[in-house]
Amino acid sequence: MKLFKLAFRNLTRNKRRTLITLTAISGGLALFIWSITLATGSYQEMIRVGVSTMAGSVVVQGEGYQEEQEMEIGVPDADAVAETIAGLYPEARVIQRSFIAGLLNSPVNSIGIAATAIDPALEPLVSDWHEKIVEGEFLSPDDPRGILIGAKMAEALGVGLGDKLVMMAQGEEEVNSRLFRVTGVFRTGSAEMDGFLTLIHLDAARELLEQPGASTQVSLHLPDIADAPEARDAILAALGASAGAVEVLTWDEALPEMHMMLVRDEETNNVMMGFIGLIAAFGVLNTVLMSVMERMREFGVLLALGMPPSSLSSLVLLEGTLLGFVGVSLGLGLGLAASYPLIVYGIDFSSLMGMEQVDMGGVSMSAMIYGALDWERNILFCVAGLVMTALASVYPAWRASKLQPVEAMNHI
Amino acid sequence: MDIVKVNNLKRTYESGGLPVKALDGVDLTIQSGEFTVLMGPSGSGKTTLLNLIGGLDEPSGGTVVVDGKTLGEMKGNALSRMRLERIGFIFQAYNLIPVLTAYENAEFVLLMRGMPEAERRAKVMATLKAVGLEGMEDRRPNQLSGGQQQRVAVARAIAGEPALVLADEPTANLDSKTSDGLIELMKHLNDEMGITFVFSTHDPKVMAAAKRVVRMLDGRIESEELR
Repeated sequence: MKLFKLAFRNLTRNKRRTLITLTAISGGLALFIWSITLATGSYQEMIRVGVSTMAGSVVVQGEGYQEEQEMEIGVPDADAVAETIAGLYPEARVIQRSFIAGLLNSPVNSIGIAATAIDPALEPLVSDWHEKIVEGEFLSPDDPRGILIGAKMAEALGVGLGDKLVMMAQGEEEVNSRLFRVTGVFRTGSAEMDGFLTLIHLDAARELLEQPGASTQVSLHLPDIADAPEARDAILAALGASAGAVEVLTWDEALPEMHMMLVRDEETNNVMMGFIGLIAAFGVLNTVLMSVMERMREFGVLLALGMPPSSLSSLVLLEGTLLGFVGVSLGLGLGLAASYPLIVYGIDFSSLMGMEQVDMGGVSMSAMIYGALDWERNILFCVAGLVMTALASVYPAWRASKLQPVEAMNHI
Repeated sequence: MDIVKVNNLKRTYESGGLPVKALDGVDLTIQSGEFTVLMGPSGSGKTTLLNLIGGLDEPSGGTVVVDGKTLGEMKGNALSRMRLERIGFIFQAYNLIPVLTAYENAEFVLLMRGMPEAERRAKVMATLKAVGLEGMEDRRPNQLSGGQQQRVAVARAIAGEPALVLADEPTANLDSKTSDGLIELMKHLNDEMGITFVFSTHDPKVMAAAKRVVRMLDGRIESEELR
């Protein structure tokens, strides 16, 4: 207690220097918490959108699809697989999708497209395609001839609602073609996607590809994707003998590019935060070392009066730690306060980006980003901040413990 | 009883690459309850001798025994403990801790000893009263005059009732009136409480109050005089 009081008063001695150091620590930490909140929010949104539209928490695909990405590789008897998974997770959503690369022809133009074949009844439960329709309607479960196209594609093909289109794709033996009628036009906000993607009925895809009962992917959509690894193992076990014909992947295995981008981005953030932390630590080192050098004479007196060198070094260490503790506490408070509007009101990047949707890691997501707190990392960096500031005081504390009373008292 | 016994004490410093003998074979014995003054011109070795008796510096040769213990045989914390419990220091430049109040400065040694608060408080208040600082307990050093600061330093040195108080030119920075008061105070503490004082000084008034005067020159004891 006596050391604590002394340490606290010593810190208030040079108020300006202490304040500058506290600002460096708390400002750095607050900036970190704010930017991590923003990053976490955008990661979560990217994962949510990416996972819901392109995969699922866990996906079952035909053996080799992940490697080859060939549309003839499907999950045989996909309905049975979907039923098995639904039996395991009755509360979660299980859907099927097929992915087709083909050619779409209108009377005036032909363009290469990527079609996602969906179950119109189930798809709206996991993704938000239906919210992006700007003209017409979403696909109907009863109409396997319906097709949804992007606004840019509609323009390129010179078609509108109700117009006919012919899709050509490679079947089992030969190139097959099938007639569709435009039931809706969507706008994702990404011009690239609007010019390239179409949505069709799963039954139509099966017919086009001559794969009755098969789909490219059966996906399980869990409320919390953190449960994905456990679910993958359960699905593998439940599929039993038929598991040999399929591959069961968690979302990060199914979307490796997106996952890698998230990992890289997080690593870059950590390095940046490390630098900020280092700068703050040097601030503390400077403050504590300066205050030690200034008080050599006083330390000599303390030693002369009988303070053991170990207590003197504890005093110096305590000063640094106290500075770190106050700085980190302030930084945490400031960071959370600054993050609050980000979480509640979000931040709109559309004017900055010049578009309403941003394409990140192959995922088109809203330019309106809401923050989300990452407590694990926030706490980790608070602890790292405390450790770094304490470590910055170790050298000054060691210097103090090595002082000889007479030499220290003669120090000018 | 011998409180200090110095035997053939030597201390050599290096200055500009050359050895300088600050103490050159000093023998001195101080009895408990003495009021001893070390006199001598600057550089005669008074401060060096006080520092060595107080265990603040290490001798180049010889031994120092304080309160029956040989300082050279004590290591690290044991020496700190010895200073904390048996020796009080008064410095020329007061050397108070600027962030602590008069009360807290006087309390510091007792606090370090781990004395219970009630006992500590009673001792500190009594000591501050004894040195004439009643009512100034909450002032910090920068709110006190030089004389008052030195009184706080005296209070700090004697609050723990040490066996020995070493005072290095305690009146050097004080005006004559304040200096007189301080000498009177220490004389009184010596007479009433039996605290052993060893001073280094140039001040004839301090010398006049001493029971024993030790004159030093060039690192040696030139003469001793009992009053």
